[in-house]
Amino acid sequence: MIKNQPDEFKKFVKRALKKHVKYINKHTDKGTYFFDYGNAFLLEASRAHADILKDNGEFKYPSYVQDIMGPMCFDYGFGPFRWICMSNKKEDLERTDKIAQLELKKLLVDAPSEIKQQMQDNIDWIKAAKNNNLVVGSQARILYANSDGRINIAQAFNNAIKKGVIGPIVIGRDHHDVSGTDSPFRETSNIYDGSQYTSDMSIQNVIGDSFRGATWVSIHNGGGVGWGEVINGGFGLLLDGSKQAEDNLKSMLHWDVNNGIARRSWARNKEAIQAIKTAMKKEKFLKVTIPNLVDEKLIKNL
Amino acid sequence: MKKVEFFKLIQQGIPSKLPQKKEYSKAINHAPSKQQNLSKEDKILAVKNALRYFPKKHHKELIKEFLEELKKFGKIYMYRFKPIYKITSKSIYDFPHKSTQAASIMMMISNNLDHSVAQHPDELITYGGNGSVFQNWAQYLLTMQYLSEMTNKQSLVLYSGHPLGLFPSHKNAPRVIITNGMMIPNYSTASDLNRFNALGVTQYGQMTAGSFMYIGPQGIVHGTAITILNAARMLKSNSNKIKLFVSSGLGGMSGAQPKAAKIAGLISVTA
Repeated sequence: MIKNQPDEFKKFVKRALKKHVKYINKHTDKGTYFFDYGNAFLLEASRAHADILKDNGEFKYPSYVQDIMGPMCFDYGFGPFRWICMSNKKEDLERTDKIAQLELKKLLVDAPSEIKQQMQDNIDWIKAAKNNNLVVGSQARILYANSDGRINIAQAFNNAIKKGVIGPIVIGRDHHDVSGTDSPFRETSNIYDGSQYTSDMSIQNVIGDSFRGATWVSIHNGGGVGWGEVINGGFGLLLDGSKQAEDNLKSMLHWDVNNGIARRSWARNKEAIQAIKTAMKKEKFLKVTIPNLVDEKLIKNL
Repeated sequence: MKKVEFFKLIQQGIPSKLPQKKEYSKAINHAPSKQQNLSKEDKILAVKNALRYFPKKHHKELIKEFLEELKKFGKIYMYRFKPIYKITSKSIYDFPHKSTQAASIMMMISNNLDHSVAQHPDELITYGGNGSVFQNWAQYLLTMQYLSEMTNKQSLVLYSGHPLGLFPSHKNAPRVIITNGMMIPNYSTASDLNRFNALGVTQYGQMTAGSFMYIGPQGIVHGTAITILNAARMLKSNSNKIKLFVSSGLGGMSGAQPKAAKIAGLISVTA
């Protein structure tokens, strides 16, 4: 049907979306909390003229990034850091799981209270990861970490490679992250200064990664939400135990996380303002423009 | 297949002798056919574009085949050129290379196209129904050849799957620079994608398909577990009875959700 009657197919999809929204509304009337989980459901439902808009034209429901992922993770720099064992050996993955766990535990001791929960969740995750049998294909692991977490874990891997404890490791991440993706209905849906329709952040990000030592970089139009709705980029970086790899990982990961925090801070996200101020205290060569917040009372009756 | 034979096949790139035409395999999951709205001129252009990868002597035979693929699937995948070896992640030292960095990228590409990982392996699609690693098998063969011969003084440039070539750079430069689906902003609608993808000049890379960074369902399981864990935490102040997670989804997403809910300690119903 997609091939031969594409218009008819679209009609069916729209009808299904309308029905879907009708049932969601029934559920939420009874107290269910509903959120869009990243496939542009709200956007497509509104295009299908489903009962998904408030009187002021906004969506009735939040996206998961607006309520959860944005303020709790991305604005602090937590995002989907991952690594892949180039030896393709299970033993290497087990060793890296232990190294990562140890590094996160060390960071947890002095972590600010507002990010302790995120760190603990990921320590629990990595502890259980092996038994959850999640590996399909390459020997790989994912966890959410902030700038310090990603840098410390990667550095500990590089040291272990140098000592011959493990083989080379590729580090990378999903594009769905703090800095990598501009997407008004997903990753940057918790940006409220109008800039959610721009893609400066993701383009700057890939350019910045490319000259700070990434082994490969990529920038894409289109992701989970559809073509023309998102610009997203990522990187891969090979750790081989060398001094060059150590310099690269420190420089590149620092930018790859703090670029997005700086932008989210400029958009007045309070968690990001706090996070970028902390980052500036740690790195004297980082100097970010901080927004001045206007008194709402002063601007309201303009 | 012996290592030496595998090395030879990677290093030869696009074979000078035409490989045998393959049967359309019914044993694996194929991408659905794409919408057919190409004009006659566009069809000619798409076939002409595809032939750029092959020497003239093969054009006559390939024209017919590529046109057939275009009519049947809305896209020329060049099925005939899919390698006979098993594409799978293995130690980087089991790929022919001069640069270890390039070998790590070969490993990641191979994982994205592995039959046990990729959603539609014959169409070079890793996930999301349209997340392409390459547009066609010629691009795969040429890219792997370039990666096997490049040194740390070169960078490989990929335009939406198409290997533009190796360019002199320096040892701390990226070995591969990838752009996928980048358009002049006014030409970025769904129907534009359909047309330009059929012409072979752009592809939908999703996120980690076209960037060689897919790690199977683990990524979405973790993200979902973190999301619903925090959702439950956020709502806890209103009620202590948050126990049921109801969702729906297709493909990789639907499989990940019950698993993630279990890890987050919730009961879930996924349609």
